[in-house]
Amino acid sequence: MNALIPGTTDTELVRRAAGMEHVPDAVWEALAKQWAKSHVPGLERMAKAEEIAAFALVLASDDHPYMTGAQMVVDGGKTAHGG
Amino acid sequence: MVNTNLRGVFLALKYEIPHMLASGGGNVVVTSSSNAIATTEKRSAYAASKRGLVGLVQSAAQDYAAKGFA
Repeated sequence: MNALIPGTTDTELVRRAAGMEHVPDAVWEALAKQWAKSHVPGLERMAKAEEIAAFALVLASDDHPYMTGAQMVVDGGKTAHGG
Repeated sequence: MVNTNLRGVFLALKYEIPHMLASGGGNVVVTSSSNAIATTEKRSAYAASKRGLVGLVQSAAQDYAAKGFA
């Protein structure tokens, strides 16, 4: 049993939470990029859902019996960033 | 927020674990959030609920590690 700790991921839910569900895609993409520049320096973008799902599959597999009670952080460096 | 994010997962574990035990165990993945580690203003309920999930996993993992759960 493990915890997956994803960073901000470009999903419909995140877009809706930002109040951006009715703006054109290009506007959302520009704002998301602007947000990521200050919050995810280095990669400067949100995660794709597939990039998080890949690690959900890792944790769900039977290949790592010694990994339990752990936290797998997949956040593009977001929480490594201090400022 | 806490009802859905934290209590919801607690209840899911409470009711799914007996079924998993009956079939020899299995793997559980709980989706927390980077807000469990570092967060921003106006996210107290969200951050608390997601950090609570980490504690839930840490304790429950020890409860069931020897019973077929990884």
